[in-house]
Amino acid sequence: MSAPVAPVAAARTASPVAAEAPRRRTRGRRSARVKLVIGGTIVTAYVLAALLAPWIAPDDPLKQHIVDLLHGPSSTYLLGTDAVGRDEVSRLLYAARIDLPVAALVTVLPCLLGTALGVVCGYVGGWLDAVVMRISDLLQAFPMYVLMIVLVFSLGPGLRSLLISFTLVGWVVYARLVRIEVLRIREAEYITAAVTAGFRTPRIIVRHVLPNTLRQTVIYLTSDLVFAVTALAAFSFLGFGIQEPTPEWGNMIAGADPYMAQHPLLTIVPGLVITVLALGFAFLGDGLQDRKEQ
Amino acid sequence: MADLLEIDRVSVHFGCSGALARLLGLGGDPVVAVDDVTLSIPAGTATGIVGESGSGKSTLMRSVMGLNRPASGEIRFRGQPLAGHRDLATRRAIQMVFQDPGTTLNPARTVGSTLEEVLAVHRVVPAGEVDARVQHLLDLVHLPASVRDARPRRLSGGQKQRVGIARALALEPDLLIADEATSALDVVVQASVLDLLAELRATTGVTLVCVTHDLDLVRYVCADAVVMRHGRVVEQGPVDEVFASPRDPYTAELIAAAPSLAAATGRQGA
Amino acid sequence: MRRRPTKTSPVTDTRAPDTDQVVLSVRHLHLETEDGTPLVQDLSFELARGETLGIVGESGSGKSLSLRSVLGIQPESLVLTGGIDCAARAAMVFQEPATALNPTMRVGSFVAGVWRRHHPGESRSAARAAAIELFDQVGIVDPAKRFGAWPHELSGGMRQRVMIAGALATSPEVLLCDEPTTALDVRVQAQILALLHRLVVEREMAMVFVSHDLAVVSSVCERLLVMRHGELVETGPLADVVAAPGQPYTRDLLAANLARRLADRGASPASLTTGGVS
Repeated sequence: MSAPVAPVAAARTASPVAAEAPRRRTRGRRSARVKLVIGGTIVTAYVLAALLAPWIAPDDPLKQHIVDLLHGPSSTYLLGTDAVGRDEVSRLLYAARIDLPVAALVTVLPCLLGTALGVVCGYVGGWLDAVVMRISDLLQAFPMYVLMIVLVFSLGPGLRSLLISFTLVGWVVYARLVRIEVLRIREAEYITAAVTAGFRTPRIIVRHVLPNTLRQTVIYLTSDLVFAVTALAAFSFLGFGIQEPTPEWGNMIAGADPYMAQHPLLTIVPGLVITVLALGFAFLGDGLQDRKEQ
Repeated sequence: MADLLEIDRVSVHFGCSGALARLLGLGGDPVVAVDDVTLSIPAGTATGIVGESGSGKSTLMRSVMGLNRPASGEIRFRGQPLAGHRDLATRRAIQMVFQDPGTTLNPARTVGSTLEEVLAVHRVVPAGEVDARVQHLLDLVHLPASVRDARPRRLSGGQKQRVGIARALALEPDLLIADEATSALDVVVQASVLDLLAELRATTGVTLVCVTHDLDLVRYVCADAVVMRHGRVVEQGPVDEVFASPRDPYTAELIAAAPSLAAATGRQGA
Repeated sequence: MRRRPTKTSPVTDTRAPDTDQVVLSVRHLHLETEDGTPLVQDLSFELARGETLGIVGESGSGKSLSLRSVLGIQPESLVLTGGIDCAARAAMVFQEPATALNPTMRVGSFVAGVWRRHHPGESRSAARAAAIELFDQVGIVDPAKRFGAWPHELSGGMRQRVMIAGALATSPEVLLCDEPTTALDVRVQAQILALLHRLVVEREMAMVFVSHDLAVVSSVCERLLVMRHGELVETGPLADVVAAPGQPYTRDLLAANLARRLADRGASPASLTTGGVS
């Protein structure tokens, strides 16, 4: 047996192992699942609360108990009442019935519009792509909130103007996202195979390109929901969104604002409710992203 | 009687700038990928188009498929010129098997769905017979029925290439072009896929064109060889002749450069 | 859970290696992922000074991974057990010259930099001269002019020569080649293989050459090691293994070689129905 030799620190040539990033497969998979479970549970809880509100809410959210204005938490009113004597808990529950569907709508509508534009621009290219991209550049030059506020202001407060303004401003990100995916997918051989098989362009776009962009879009959708929920609340807080007396988390915060010092719960709790929901969507999105990277 | 495929003085250029760009002095020189190539493929034959990278062999076949437009020249199929825009029947007659098993199949679709779609769009068989036809195609390429419900990520490279062959054959084409169809496969799998192509030629009578850089592949599968270099055809003829007594020095270089197992085993090493 | 290799004893090298001259010794190398999937199992081989060993296997055989383990550049998440003793300087030549060379560094600077690292205290001009000399040795025409070239200005073959020059700049005694010609055209491949052969003989270097192509390996290596699914299938003098393969997998690999099939077939391709051995 030869004398033990020390393994020599070997010479290395140029940037070795270019593409071999260490793949932490198992850890990623576990954490992805955890995030999905947490996010899924939170969101499901909210959806259930919204659906079951008429049965589980202790009181009528619009009923004003004149004798119990700004009552603190008690056995009758678990979180107290607001400035006009309405039960906070009931209002929170019923507000979910507004906030959740509206948040979903203001996310899905821009997604649909942006995806449609992005797919066509990415696949067909040409002047359509150029025009749409320049319009999106223009829109992106403005700070998003400012643009949306201007739109809502000019259209008047309420659900309809929220939907319009979110859609007109929000489609841009989806269009760009999808377009990049499509540019990549376009080069794949199965698309070439579809062309050489004589499939027409609409069929190729809808049946071959679009399904392969969905994964990326859904991941972004969840983070957009986070934004939508908070933005909705902000708009309502500013008075542009859902109007009184319909309960909505944002306008609940606005209504309780003058009484923040004495009755902090009335502003904090709706804020927390919004935050936790946003967190739920964020976990979902993160979990999906992690799973995609497996 | 015209040959099945006639390539008549075809040139393909890349990177042609528009008139405005050239006016502004921004036009670059176009790359001549295929330079004045004339070639005929008779029906029922197996032809290998061999060359190194940049030889134009793939570009030429993609012109035949209608994936790029020649700058000049004409391509005729059964005597009829092939236009840029082709109808379904023309598309059906010429099919291709592609190189990269990783992207040759739509990852969002099962194998069965991919094959069914092709059959449905061209109405190859009445709707009631689609199932049976898909099964028949899988049998042709020696794949088990279980792959039908599998998504591409569950298949090996060789299996994916076989599905690609099945997809091409589903349309019962007259001409099948294999564009480096086995380059990305392992050696053992490659041999079996090549055997499959040869077998299919015998059973279906399809005309085969193999684009490859591998000389042995051409000798193994094809009866005729075309050697391309820098976009031109430098030599063509029956495989045995071209390889036994090449007329062009480039062909001779290619043959000499290919590493040979037989030759090396005579050597004992340094 | 480790599977015991289910092979009969492989063809052994009849020439007893001169143990003083062993430059690389791999003993029971075992590589597995974090969740226990084995990628390389119980790989052992020795390399003596001046020997050329070809490691052949298909994708997933673990051949590249094993080579990278010798230099310690395998993916960090893998668990390595077993012994690797490299009693000499080893340098590697990679498969894809386009990505292995830094695109923002001139090729001359790269080689000169490597040379300087292994000749500490030498001046820049000495390094430059050494780099130009190395360019010449690897067959780069007009080496002084090419010193300042960017990688993207060079052809694939030239880039590979630059990589080899970079490896030589370390004055290695062992050259590790990971599919160095797979990405090259056939004529360029022939040139690079001839170059490697010449360098190995001139400098008395040992070489490990990994490839999926048996014919390529057979043109530069005198010993052969066949891998499959991370395991050693067979090893021995190349001529012997090829002439009389002991293992069914080796036989399959050889049988899949198209030139072999053609020789066996004998008949002309025009008369083929089902050609070759199925």
